[in-house]
Amino acid sequence: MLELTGLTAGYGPAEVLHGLSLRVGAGTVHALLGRNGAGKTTALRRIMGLLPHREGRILLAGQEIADWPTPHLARAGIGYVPEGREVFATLTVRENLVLAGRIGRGEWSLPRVSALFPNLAARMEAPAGALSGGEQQMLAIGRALMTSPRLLLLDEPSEGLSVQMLGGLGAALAALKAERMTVLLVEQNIGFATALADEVTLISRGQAVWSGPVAAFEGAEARARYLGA
Amino acid sequence: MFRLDPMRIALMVLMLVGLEAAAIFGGFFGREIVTEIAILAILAISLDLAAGFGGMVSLGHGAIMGLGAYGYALAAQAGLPPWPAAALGVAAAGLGGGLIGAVAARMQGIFFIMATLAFGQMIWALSFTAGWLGGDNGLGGIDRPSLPFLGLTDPLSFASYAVGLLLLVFLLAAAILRSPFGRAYQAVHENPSRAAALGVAPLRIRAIGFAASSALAGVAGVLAAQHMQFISPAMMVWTASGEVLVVLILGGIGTLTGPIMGAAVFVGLKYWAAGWTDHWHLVIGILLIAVVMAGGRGLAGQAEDWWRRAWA
Repeated sequence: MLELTGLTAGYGPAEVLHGLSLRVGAGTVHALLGRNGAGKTTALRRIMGLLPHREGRILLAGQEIADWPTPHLARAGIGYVPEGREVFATLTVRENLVLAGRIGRGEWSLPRVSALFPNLAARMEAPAGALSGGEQQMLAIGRALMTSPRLLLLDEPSEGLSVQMLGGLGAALAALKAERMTVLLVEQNIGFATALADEVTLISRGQAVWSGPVAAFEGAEARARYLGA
Repeated sequence: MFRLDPMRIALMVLMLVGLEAAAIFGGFFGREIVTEIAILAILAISLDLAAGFGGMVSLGHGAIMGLGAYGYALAAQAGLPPWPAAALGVAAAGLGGGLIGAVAARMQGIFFIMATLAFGQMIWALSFTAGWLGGDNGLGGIDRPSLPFLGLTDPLSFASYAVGLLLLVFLLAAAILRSPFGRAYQAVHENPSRAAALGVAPLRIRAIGFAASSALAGVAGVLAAQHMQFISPAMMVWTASGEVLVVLILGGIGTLTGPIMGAAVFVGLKYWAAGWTDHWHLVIGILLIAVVMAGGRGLAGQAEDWWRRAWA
């Protein structure tokens, strides 16, 4: 579904990704792990066109998309859930979802999102800024789903969530996985990520240092070396 | 994000009823003032749409309003009946503003302001130097339209017509902001990259929003031309654009009710203070500073806060 080859990216003169390559198979959950500053968030922002194209290739279902503008990528079926959620705080939950649904092909609707996240169903008319952190995370994911994505980019969805919320989020993501949604998941919470993932790529200093199925990741030497865990 | 809650509706109705009462009981002078307030309020609402809800602070709205006025005057002089001429004036402002928006939407903050200022100055300079636009002397002999039951020839019926147009523009702006387009427009203002990631094209949305704002400014221009029955480049000088910005901040930016309150206070204070001092700008200035220091929500914003406290 998604293939990165020799991707570089950065902010001004500072380069963060130095030739990242990875492959996300259709219908799989791919975890992108690494320490702070390794380039995980930068990779997602680059894929979503929020950082300018430099070098390397990005293929979405075989199509070169490396220099597409962000709105086109959203319309081409990439759903992006940024770190820190960034819901439209003054819009209601419903308005946040409907706004995103404008470009959806109708595969996802308000009832379907409500079924996946029952917490949201009860708070449709509340301003999004009034939701708890966990609910905002669910809204951010629900909003991305409303665009009917083929590929979901999730940036640290577990960040700052209570244990209870984490359980609810994990269940919702597992349900998405069961429906064969393709996901590229960036996480600091290794346990949360490996419980969901089929494949893992470990990055350090902007390059992939290990890649393989999640079963092999458990005992991999690279895991101890690059994550200390 | 704009909400048309009962408080805003009540405040808007209260102000419009007050304006209409002032027109009915205020005599000739009162009626002229009410018309002046309505024109300024329409222009300020149009600027609120761009600056308050889209983050596009414009110093070109006086000139864009002028496009509406000149469009109406030229069409009327060419023999068009008043209503089609008015539509043409509004279209001229919307189109001209849309072109400005298409270029300026790429810029942010001070650069956006400077771009609108530059475009505004170009429009002003054109009207000033072009002979077919009357140059410095302007254009005169402009017809007023007529309405059933309202001849629009006497000051009272014209002031009532102006207040009615103000209501129409307020409702139009509210409808735009509450539409799916309006939500996307405000989402782009709140977080452009987030909106882009949801498939909204920020530049196009901003340009269309600026065009819509410009069309409403065109309504103010048409109304001004009908009121004075004479127009000149003076209405398009950039200080006219600055004055609207003062009105907007005084009344409350991002509220839609603020422009009406700001225009009423601005024009009211101007005539009242001019009665006893040549330095009426000073009075406005002191009030503006007080309002900004009180939190920057403007008079309407303050009124909303009081209202909420009184009912909470």
